[in-house]
Amino acid sequence: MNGKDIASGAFFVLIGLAYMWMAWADLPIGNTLEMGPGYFPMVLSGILVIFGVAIGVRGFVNAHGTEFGRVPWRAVVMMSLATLVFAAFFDRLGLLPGVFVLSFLTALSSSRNSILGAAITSLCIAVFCSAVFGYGIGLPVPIIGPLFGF
Amino acid sequence: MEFIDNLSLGFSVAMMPINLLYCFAGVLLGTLVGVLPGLGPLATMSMLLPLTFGLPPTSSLIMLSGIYYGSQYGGSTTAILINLPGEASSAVTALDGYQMARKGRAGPALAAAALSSFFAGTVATVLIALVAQPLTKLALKFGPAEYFSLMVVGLISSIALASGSLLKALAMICMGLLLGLTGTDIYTGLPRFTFGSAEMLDGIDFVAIAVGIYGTGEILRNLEHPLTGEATVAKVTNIWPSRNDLKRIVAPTLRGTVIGSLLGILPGGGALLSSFVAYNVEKKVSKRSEEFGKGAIEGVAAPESANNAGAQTSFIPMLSLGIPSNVVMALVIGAMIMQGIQPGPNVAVTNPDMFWALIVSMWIGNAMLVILNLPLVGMWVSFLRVPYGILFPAIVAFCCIGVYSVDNSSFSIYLVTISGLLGYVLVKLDCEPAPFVLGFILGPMLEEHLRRAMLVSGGDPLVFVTRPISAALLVIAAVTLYVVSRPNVAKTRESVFEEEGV
Repeated sequence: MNGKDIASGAFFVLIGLAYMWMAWADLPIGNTLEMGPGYFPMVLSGILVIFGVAIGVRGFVNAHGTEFGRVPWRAVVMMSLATLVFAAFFDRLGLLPGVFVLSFLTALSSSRNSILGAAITSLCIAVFCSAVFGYGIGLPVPIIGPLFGF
Repeated sequence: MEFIDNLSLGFSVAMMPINLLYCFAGVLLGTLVGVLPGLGPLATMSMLLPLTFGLPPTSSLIMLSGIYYGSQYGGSTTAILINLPGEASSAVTALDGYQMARKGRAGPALAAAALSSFFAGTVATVLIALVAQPLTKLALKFGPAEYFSLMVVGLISSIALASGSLLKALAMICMGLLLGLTGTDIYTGLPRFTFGSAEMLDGIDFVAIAVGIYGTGEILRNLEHPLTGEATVAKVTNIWPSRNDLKRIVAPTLRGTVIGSLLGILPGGGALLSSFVAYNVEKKVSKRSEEFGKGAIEGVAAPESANNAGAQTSFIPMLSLGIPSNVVMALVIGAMIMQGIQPGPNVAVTNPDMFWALIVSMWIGNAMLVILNLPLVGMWVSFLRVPYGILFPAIVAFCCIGVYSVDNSSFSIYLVTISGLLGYVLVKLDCEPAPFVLGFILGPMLEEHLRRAMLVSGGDPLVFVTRPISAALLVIAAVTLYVVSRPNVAKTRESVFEEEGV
């Protein structure tokens, strides 16, 4: 049993079926002479499903499994949170506070960064980015956003 | 004489102050990226892609290429000084380079790396200038069937570079192709796979995908094993190699250059493969093979010349055919498309000044690199002390702002989050992202040529095998697939990537 093969095989089959269904439901398939927008996706997703099944079967047959290794859960959560918050509030926060929040949350991904250290690092990054992107390149986002009442 | 005319056109454009400036900025950033651990040329190029939109196309391409070959130089510096290859392609350099450094010969090792790289870069530049033009002329005769087959070759050979299972790499290609189709269908105007979102009608932003996979996804991987403390950096005393050293590096450099140039041209080749092959060849042919691994200067010169030559000749298929031979070239193609230049054989005809300036700038950039790297090595060494804990929040910040600035919308940043997580999970499942990214870039082009070829042939799929060039290309793809799937080749591939820690 090889868990990685089984999981990735299942994933490919799932994606393949999803695309197949979307192509079938929404798009004209056409014929080989005049291929509709659904033709190529249909073929590709079919191939993807076949590969997925083959990988999955190999995972069951394969004698030796492989280590999945450790997952830095803290980093996964913090980094996703950081980018999502940034995406949602960047316009309203403005460049300086937005980048500060982004870097601060990201920095906390690593347990080696203390809160204070993360705050200092993020402040430096935020000031640097405001100077480069705000004043230098002229990104159309205010340095301090409307959220702060300016 | 056409060759001379072209080169002089290239020189006149590349020597313009603005282009010299961006060339310098590119190689400087590239060296920095190569030195900083955990930050590769791919992440940097995707981060800086949005910033290059405001530049003229020529300047932006010159800078992006400078980052790529500059990082090859920087990577070798860390490989030699702290046994930590900044770039995967410098991994073999560390074997002998670090041993030389431990014996107090860090200087000559760095000099051997820089000089052999410069020589290889010069040869590769001339080679690109010589080969790109005839290839372009050949490619102008290509019809849709040939293009389709050519892209199949490109996709299949990207597998040769991917580590791990062949089946997974093929599945990753299919998934990349499918994702690349997102957006409005060019023939019917119907939206495809957009989930009703208006933002996705123009397709998924390539920068967001690249930044997610190679920026945030890569950081997650690095955080699995927190980099331990400060590395001990070997002291650099005397830079200049002795006369005996110089004598010893001549032949390995020549051999490395030839190997690198050839492997770089092959689709799927590039710096990584070249350096590994060159080192092994050198070990076999050298009279001093017992010294390899213990500080043989040949073991530095050969892979360094090869990786630099390979990095540069991998531009040949990109420039002359519009086919990316590796993910870095895919990024350059992405940059071209965003600048409104349709990559392909027409580039040399429609934008000759850009085409030749880019080629000449590589040689100028290489000369800059020698100057940057040898006397200033002390400065680069100090960058080795930047802790990763400070580095990665900065990388994420640059990535997100860069992605935002593509079209000043937050939508792409959500894509970064998703593709970063997806990329990380896939790598955890031993699925290399490179074939996926290539598929994503080539998806729309592949489909367009397929549909056009079928229209032209009246719906006869045999068109791909009855047209000679197309048939030859498909044979190449089939042979590549067969060779890569052979058990003993598969095993060697595995060991290559294991040793290099990719």
